[in-house]
Amino acid sequence: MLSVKGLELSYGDKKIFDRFDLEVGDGEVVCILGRSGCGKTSLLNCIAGALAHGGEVNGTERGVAYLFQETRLIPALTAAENVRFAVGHLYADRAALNAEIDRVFSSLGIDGLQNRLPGKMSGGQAARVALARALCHPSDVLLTDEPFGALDVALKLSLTEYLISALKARPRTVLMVSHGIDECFDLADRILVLGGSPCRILYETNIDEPRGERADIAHRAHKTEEIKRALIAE
Amino acid sequence: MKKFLSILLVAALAVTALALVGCDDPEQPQEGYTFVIPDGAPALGAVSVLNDVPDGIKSVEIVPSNTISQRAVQSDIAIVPANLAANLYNKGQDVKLVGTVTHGNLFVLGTSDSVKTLSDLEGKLVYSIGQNSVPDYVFRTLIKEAGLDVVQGDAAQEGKVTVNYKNDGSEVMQQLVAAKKEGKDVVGVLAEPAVTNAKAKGMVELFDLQSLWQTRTGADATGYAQAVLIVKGDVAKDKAFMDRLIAALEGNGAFVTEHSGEVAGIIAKVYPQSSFAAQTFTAETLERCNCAFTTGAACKAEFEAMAQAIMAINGQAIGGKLPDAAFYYEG
Amino acid sequence: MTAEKKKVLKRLSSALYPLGAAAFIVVLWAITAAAVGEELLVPSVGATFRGLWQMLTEGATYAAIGGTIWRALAGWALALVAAAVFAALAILFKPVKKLFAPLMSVMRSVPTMSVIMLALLWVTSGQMPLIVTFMTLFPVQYSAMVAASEAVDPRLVEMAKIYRVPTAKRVLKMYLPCMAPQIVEGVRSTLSLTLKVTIAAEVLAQTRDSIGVGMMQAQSFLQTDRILGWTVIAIVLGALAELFVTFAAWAARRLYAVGERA
Repeated sequence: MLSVKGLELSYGDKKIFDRFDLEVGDGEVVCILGRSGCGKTSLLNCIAGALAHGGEVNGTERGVAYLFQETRLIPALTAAENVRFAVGHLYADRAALNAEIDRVFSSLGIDGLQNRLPGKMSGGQAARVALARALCHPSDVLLTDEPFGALDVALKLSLTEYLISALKARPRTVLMVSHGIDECFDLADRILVLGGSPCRILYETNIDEPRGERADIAHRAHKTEEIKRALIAE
Repeated sequence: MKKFLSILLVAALAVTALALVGCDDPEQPQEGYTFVIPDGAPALGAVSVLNDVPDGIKSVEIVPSNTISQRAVQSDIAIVPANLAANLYNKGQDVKLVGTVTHGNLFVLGTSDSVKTLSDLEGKLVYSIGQNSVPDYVFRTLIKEAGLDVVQGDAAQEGKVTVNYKNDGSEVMQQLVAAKKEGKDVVGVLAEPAVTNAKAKGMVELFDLQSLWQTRTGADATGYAQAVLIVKGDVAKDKAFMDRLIAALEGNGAFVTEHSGEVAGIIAKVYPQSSFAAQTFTAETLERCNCAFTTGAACKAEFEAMAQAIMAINGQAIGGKLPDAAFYYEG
Repeated sequence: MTAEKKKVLKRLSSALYPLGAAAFIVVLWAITAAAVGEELLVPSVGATFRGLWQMLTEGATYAAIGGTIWRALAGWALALVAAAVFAALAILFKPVKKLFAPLMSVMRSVPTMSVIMLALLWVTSGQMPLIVTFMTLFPVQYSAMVAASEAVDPRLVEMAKIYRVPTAKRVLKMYLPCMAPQIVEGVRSTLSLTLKVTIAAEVLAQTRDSIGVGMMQAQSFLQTDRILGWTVIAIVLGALAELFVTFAAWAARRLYAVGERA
């Protein structure tokens, strides 16, 4: 289980988090909505260990996989080298690592791109390599920060599909910062709306229907209305 | 536009180049000859002239010793190291050797008195001044004739005399002082007045190269041709002037010992940056600088001995051959 | 005119510029030599190249060139390695970088001459040019490397931090490849500086078997043609060194391209 207890974070005089608590169960997918600047990305970075903070974070002992807004691929390294760079040190056996890379690449439809440099890929291909990098991480904790934000709608949808099928194949504990309410309904087990200063949970709702069968979720329209109100109310 | 600019640039460069060339030919508003003297010991050979400039000389200048070859080419009269005089002549310069102004002020010093004879220098490290100039050739000639091999290097070599060249006496001194402190036994070749200074710091005088040279050549006078006076051909034809110049220089030996306290001041007045500006000369030190002017046959014999010695080591230093008879000025 | 022909002409004319520059220098030189009319002060172009030819038949010339190349390369390489180690420390640990910053700016502003003067006291004449070359190049190369590291995308640095990538791997696989193009540029620009500094130090240290002493000896022997001959040799060496680095950079790029196809 991923848990945040009594999180403290401030930028100068401004308190971003003041005794903030959050728990994400094993295999649970939690999507976060909230105005920009409310502290969503800071929350992820505190959990990932990239930001010094007060309070306790548990469940990240094996590290975290992280999917960024941008691809963040090293231009001088090939696709496979980029993956090996980020997660290679977590594998004892290089053959097992390469097998995992090949498996993930083919599941994402980018088999054959292993030895290509990022500069010679399309935007969609590079985004899938970035997703492959996160999926090859042995940890079950995946943090994602508005991923694929820069891509066009069609590409974004297909990448969300890839992510859904990856989660089906191997359930992970996911904390995802999102912009789109629809995306949340497609992916999340639980949706949170964050806001206020210091940041707190303004609204929370569970989605119980299995992923992939959510075209007609009960109360979807009602919940959407409530989320919108929570976002606007602030 | 680009073309125009590049033409302009080329034109500007060409004008600059021509202007630079032009600088070398200043107009001569005054009648008289130009006289250049290198800083250092050679300047001691012309103190009487610096003090009371003979008629017919327009300007006397003391210049850094490493620029003397270029300046000598451009001047009517110059004091130059013996090797340079022969080299200028052999390179086709219209110069004549008038006389020798200094006859050597070189001494070998040690951090201890362990060296008694030249052959004791075997296996020693020697710091020396004047690479490819008179001090170098004098020392190497004496060492070679004592049956020893000279090599260049940073550390003493078994069975050889290892020479390490420095730019000036103070660098040699620094090495000697450092070696003495570390208890190392090293040797240095120094020139007066640095020798007097070194002895004050506890260095031991081992050899007087002037008297060793005299023993070698069997000449009447001590020393060798170190710095000499050369004049351009047309100056040499101006007999009246030449007599005045020679007379003025002949008085130098007596002048410096009599006015030892003023020597540094006279030099510094002409050349404030002189290495001697802060030096206090005593009559004894100046005596050891050997600055008595010689001309005529004695000068010729002394110079030929030096030229032959240099020729035996490196002929290039004097332009590849011994100067012929036309080189020597006959008053 | 066909496009093919135009391309050839364009290439030819781009080769003409350096040739034109060289011709310009030679003409200016010839005019100056003729105007001065004194071989001992400004030797003619012909005399200089005859002198150079003569030098190239002498063994001592090659010993001097070899000695100077060895000292320049050793000083340069030592400075490069030391700069790489110090720059790595500075890039990975911010406090180290802050500590080094004033030290490096002091080292950069120390005049080469005072380094030479002090080195004369402390080290032998054989080591001195190497030390001086090292002292001059080290801060320059360090700064070039730190500057190159600052050009590495901070978002990549954050990525490596979140993925907890070991330090050695971060240096080898992220910093170095991202910095390589700028480092190569920096290294190339220090090569000609290296030769200049080494030769200057050789003159003052009177280092045996060196271009510096060759020039100095030529000066004491009134062989002005040879001073210029040595200068031509030094220029050619500098150009060769730059060509070599350019080739190395090209080979490195090529290696990446091959890796992609495999």
